[in-house]
Amino acid sequence: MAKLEIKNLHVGIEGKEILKGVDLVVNSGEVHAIMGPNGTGKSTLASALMGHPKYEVTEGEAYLDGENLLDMEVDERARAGLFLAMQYPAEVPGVTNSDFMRQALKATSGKDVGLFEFALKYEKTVEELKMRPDLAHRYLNEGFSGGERKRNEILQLKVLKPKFAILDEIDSGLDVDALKIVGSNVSELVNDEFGCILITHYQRILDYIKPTNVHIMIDGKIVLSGGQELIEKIDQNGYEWVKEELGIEFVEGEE
Amino acid sequence: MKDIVIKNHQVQTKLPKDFLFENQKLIIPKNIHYENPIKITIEDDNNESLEIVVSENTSIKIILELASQETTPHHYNLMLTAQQNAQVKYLLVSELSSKKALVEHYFTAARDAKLDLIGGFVSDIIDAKMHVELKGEGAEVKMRAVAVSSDENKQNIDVLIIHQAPNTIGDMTNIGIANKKGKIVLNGVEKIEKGMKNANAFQTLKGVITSDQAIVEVNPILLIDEFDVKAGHGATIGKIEENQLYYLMSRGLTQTQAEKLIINGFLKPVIDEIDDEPLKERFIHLVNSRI
Repeated sequence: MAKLEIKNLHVGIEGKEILKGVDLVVNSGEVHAIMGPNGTGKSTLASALMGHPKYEVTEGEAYLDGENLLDMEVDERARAGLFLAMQYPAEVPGVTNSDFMRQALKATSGKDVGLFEFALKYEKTVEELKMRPDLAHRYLNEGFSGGERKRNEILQLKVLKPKFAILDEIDSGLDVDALKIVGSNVSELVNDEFGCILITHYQRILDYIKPTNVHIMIDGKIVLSGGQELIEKIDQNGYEWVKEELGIEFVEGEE
Repeated sequence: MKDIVIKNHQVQTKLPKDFLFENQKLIIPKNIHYENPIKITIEDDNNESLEIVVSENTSIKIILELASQETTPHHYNLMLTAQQNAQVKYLLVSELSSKKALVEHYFTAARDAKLDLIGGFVSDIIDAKMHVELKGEGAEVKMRAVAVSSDENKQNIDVLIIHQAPNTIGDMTNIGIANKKGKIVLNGVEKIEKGMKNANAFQTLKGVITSDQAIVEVNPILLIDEFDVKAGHGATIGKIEENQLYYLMSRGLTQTQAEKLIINGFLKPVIDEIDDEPLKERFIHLVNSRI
């Protein structure tokens, strides 16, 4: 059993406040979908939790199993059990996927992994995500299509087995087949030791990964939380009804 | 792979078939395609000069290793000549502990000769000149030089390509990586003389610093005295890309581990060319002890 706790989180970028007090508790075994129009701060939440240097936390707290995440460097957060599947993962020429993943696995698990054992495990995961068999020897994300990059993020997630994963718009740019593959692979991971935050503004991915909790984020705050019934409502009516129901005003902005 | 060891101006090993060595000049026979590279090691010899001639129509890969633990002044005078239509892939690895080393390396390419040159510099204090003359029409050179400095290392790398014939191509990519108090100066100069129509000159210079005290200076210079040419140059200098660091660290790697991985990736195109396993391992080890 693991717990991720976010309390009154305020985050800014270049002096502009984006998150204006986010509260969220995620336990392992749960899948929380955070939905909302573009530009409301969903991805900011993901980047700030991982510790991206551009984002500045101005107020609030975040804990992973009682440990203060905000005091940690990016790599320490990863080793504490946090994983972020990024919207735009970087390309690193000259570094093969397998060299990188083997080193990352050693760092996060604290154990040396034999080359042979690792190769077998990696190849199996490559198959499960239906990726090219030569993936291990290709350079990290270099020349990858958008879909390959996203699948590579999920592959890394499966290899590293963190306590919590944040999937930042893992569905955007994926075709339906890839969406199914990503969805079923993530769904299979959810258990007593793993929980997940799904950030999306489409409901399509939620056909394949069933969330236990759904949150609507608008203008840097979670304004409404509930279950799957919220997805249907958004599906049919967009976000306009939220304005009326809660009496809040917002303008859809650029992400 | 064939090894040739030269010490005190003498070849210490058996020469490959039909190779000639006299008056510090090594002549490689013509019209032969060599499948396997040859490695030439100049051993602890601090005042050496050597000329290598690759005869007409021959294609070969040569690895030249300059290695010495001595800290006394060193001076090497080296020359590589590619005769007509010869194709030479050439790798120079310089790991000199000298506190005052001077390496002057001249290359000439005759008509239609192709030179693919790579220089790997992990020396202490060195002035290296890599001067290429494209003498014959259709001659081409691709030059990649990499220098890695740390602590008190100071490496000056001068790369010069002169187009002395029309229809010649010169392309250089020079990379300097400096850590701690390391210093690197990369000068890339390409010169197209008057009348050398349809010559192509391209330069890319990159400097990467991994500490606040490290210095990399890059000077890309094009000197062109002819209108009908294609030329371009670019230079960048900076720290390792923040996004790449963040990405690798988000998977649990420490900043140092991430930087090492990125720099090794950067150098991979050069490292991959070192066919000699022990030399390759030593080069990787040396590079990694500096970053």
